[in-house]
Amino acid sequence: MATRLQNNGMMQLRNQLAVAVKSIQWSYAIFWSTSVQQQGLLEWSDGYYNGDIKTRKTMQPMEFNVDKLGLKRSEQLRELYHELLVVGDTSQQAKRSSAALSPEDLSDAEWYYLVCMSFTFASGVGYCFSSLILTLVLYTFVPVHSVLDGSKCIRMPGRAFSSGQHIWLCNAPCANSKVFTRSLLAKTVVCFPWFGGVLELGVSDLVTEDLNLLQHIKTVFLEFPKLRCSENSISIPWNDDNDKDPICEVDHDVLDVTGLENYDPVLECGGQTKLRTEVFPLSIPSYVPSAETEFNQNGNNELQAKVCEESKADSPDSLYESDPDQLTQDSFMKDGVNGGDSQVQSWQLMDDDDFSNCVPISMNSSDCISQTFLNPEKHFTPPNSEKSNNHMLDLQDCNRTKFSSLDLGVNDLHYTRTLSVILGNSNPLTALPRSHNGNKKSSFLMWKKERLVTPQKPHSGVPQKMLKKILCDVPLMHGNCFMKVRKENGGIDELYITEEENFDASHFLLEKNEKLDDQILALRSLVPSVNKFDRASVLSETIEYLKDLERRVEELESCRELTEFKSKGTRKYLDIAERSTDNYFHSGNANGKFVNVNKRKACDIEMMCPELDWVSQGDDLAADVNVCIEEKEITIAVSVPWRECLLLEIMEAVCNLQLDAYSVHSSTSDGILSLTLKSKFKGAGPVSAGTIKLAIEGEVSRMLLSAGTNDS
Amino acid sequence: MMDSNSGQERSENLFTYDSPYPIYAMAFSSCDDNSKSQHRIATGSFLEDLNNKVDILSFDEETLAFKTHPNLSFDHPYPPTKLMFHPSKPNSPDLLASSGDFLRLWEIKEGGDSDSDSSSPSVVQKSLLNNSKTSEFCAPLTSFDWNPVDPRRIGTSSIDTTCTIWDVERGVVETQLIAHDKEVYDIAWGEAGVFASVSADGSVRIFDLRDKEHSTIIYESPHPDTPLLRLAWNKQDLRYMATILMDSNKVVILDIRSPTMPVAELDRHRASVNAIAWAPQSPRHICSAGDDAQALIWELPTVAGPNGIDPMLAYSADSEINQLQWSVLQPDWIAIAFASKMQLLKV
Repeated sequence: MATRLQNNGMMQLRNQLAVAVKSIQWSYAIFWSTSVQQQGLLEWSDGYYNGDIKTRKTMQPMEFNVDKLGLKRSEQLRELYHELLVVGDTSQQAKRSSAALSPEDLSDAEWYYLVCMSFTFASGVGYCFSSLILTLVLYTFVPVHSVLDGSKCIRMPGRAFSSGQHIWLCNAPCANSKVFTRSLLAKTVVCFPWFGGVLELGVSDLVTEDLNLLQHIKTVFLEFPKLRCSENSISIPWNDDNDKDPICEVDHDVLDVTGLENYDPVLECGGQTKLRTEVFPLSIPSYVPSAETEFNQNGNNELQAKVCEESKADSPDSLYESDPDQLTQDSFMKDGVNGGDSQVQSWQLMDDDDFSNCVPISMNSSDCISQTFLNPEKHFTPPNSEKSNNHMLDLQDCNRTKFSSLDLGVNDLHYTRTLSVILGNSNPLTALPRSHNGNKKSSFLMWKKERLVTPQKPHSGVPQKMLKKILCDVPLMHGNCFMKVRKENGGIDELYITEEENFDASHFLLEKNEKLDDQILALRSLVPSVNKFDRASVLSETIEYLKDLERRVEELESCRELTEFKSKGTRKYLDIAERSTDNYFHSGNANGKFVNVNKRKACDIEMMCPELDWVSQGDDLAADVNVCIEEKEITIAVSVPWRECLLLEIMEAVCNLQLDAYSVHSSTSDGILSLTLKSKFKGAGPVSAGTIKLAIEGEVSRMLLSAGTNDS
Repeated sequence: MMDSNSGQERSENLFTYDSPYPIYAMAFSSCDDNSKSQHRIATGSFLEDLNNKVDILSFDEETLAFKTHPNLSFDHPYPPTKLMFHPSKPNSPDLLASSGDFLRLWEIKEGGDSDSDSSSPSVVQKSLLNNSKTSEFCAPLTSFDWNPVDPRRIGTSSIDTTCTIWDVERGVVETQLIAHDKEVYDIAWGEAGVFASVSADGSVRIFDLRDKEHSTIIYESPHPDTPLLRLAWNKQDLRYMATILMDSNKVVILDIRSPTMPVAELDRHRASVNAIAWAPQSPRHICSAGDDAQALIWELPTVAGPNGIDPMLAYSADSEINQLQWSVLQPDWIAIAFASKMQLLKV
């Protein structure tokens, strides 16, 4: 960065900047001078930062007074910028004093200021004077309107330089990026030529164009001897004696002369007493969150929330740093928790009994001191509503253009690039602590970005092969034994209950219940007659069912011995359900008649029916229905005295139950219709075996009854 | 004691041990009874049968040689899913824990004298911890963590959705919690009574033993039911933990103050990540290793750049790296395991 003035000159220049920017309570002043290396180029010469400060680092805190701190800060920022650049060039780890700033110490306004140092501007004029150019930027967060005619495509400081006119740019982020290339944080920027250079002033609030204010700024500069600002600065009123503070003196003078009150009406339209509390520092590269957030202070809270969300969503990475800020604020608001909790304190909180409550909100170990040392009191008054309304109209327009130009704006690109350079270089600053065992080098190499980042397939073809085997397959190796034992225990694993009294058993109860429920449900589906859901009923019904089954088995065994099938007087017909009826030739059917039909073929059976009319009228009207559900397959076995159309009716009943029959095996023997029907669930929910049984039994008995009455 | 130089490379900063078997589990001892230059490392074989072994090796920084100790090898029928030494220097002897079908504690008895060369050290199984009272079998354990603050406590994670907290001194279950909806894959202690676990249900949950009724979900994988496989809690800065997802090249860095929103995703691996370890001596560094055969050391920036985070350092191995351990005792050493090799890397 060229035009290095003599120290004295620099000192004086900076002091003047300080006076100017502080007298109007703006955030920073930058002085752009012409480059000695490249004619016609404006570049950073000096600046004074008067904005918010995040972390203050000093060697000896007591050494400086408040005003001195401002100068010190500006110096530190400049040092940091150089340091970052140097590190980037040489990869050397600069020796840093403990008081030096690190990138993480900066507030976002400071970032803005820092990044400004990397900009240069074409002046738009082919010649330059050797005299200095001062640029003051006033940057503001609330938009008013652009005073620019926008006719020229020269960036702002350069334009001010070439035109010789001052430029007052409000709501800089909304401005055409051709006019102002750094439209990120600065909202109102004023540039005017000064001593053949450009002075740029910015403040973190909205300020409408005010010639008085401008005049005031100029006056501040003019009141200082111009000679002393020249390159030849021979004598300086306050010399290098920094202990004596020039700014204070000047402040009084200037403030008295002009009177800050005069400017209040102007400042009012900004109305921002709250500075960058909603700022997401890290979102800056991709967004303009701070600016937008502040817009909405005018009342559009909804939009604000949305913007916040968007900025969160758009740059999740950025929350790394911004979240602590936000959390801090949240907890301020909600709990009134004292800010500035250190990490240690946070964890002490966790030591308290309400750990889980603390986790989401109270980990606000932010070391952020979001206050301005130099501006303990903002003089801004609440918004003038009339003006604000006007501004809202402007705001809408501005927003539109801004949103559309955000992604590809040159300014954003530059900002992003600069940031990534700075951040990329900051890594070696905090190198991994290593033990100083000098004779051994690292096995690791510096990571290099590969141009073609092709996803690499593991040799085995299965990603995370061994990890998955360890987590999924190995447990199954011994899990099989584990599961087997579980089953032997009746499917209910008595979980270990600890000896400790305060042991929380509800979890186990819950798990047990879940397992139990599953088993009960399974049991329920096996027992046809169960209609209730509670466990006691299911179990008692099951007991009854088992007894019934035993009885039937006995009957079946005794019946087998009978050569003649005398069904009269027999209470029940035999259960001849067969669950594996691949063999259609049912051995029990003496006449070997069987019909294997699908649903369509059922008509054939019906037509056959009259020929087979050998019904014994005196038969019991009992129907024996057995339903078995195995997974999705339902086997229904029906044994019933034959009636006309009975088969059809049963099929219909099955159909009504949302069952899709795909295999029907029926035969008639000794006046008994035996039907084995396999089907699947058609509908959504499975029907219980009991329901099916009931429905078919109902249908059959209805048929039998009606047939019986007809016959008699 | 046998001296075995198998696999040692005459490289100043890289040492390879060739095991007869594929290696998965691995652990550095925290016991510095030996001289500073001695590392004690346990490796567990990964064979899909019942003939697995755990070997305890030592590495001498003076002679730059691995030593195997036949007396310190023992059978471990099922592959150990994790090995870990007692986290702080015990009075003696050194203790090793292994998980798998059970949680087991092994005691490593040094030789008679302080000079371990004079008589042979040995290993005995100190206890076998089964968290199932009624069954001779324990629900399979996927991982465990030994509480560094309160070494009486070991937490195990199991496929039966529970985490069990053991009092290993008394050999009893302190508590057992149903931690997740699905298999629990990893567990990590934060402080004496606080642990976190990851699961096939895709969530990271924090538990406080003082309030067992509640757990806090601090992260859920973006696609529901993407299992989270491993978890590492930053012991230097307990605000941060890291986890990895199934079939993902990302290391997800979580800040427990911002639940559900990861503060960073480290995605420069070119294949899935298998293991992660925070630096024991720095709050801002983490190492990850994956199927791309790379071990990457990352520094978490205070301010994330716009293009994501690049790793600082990289090491390329011969094949997929399955395991990664960062020595707490000598933090300038990292051990990785790939195939049947274990390598010591100088950071």
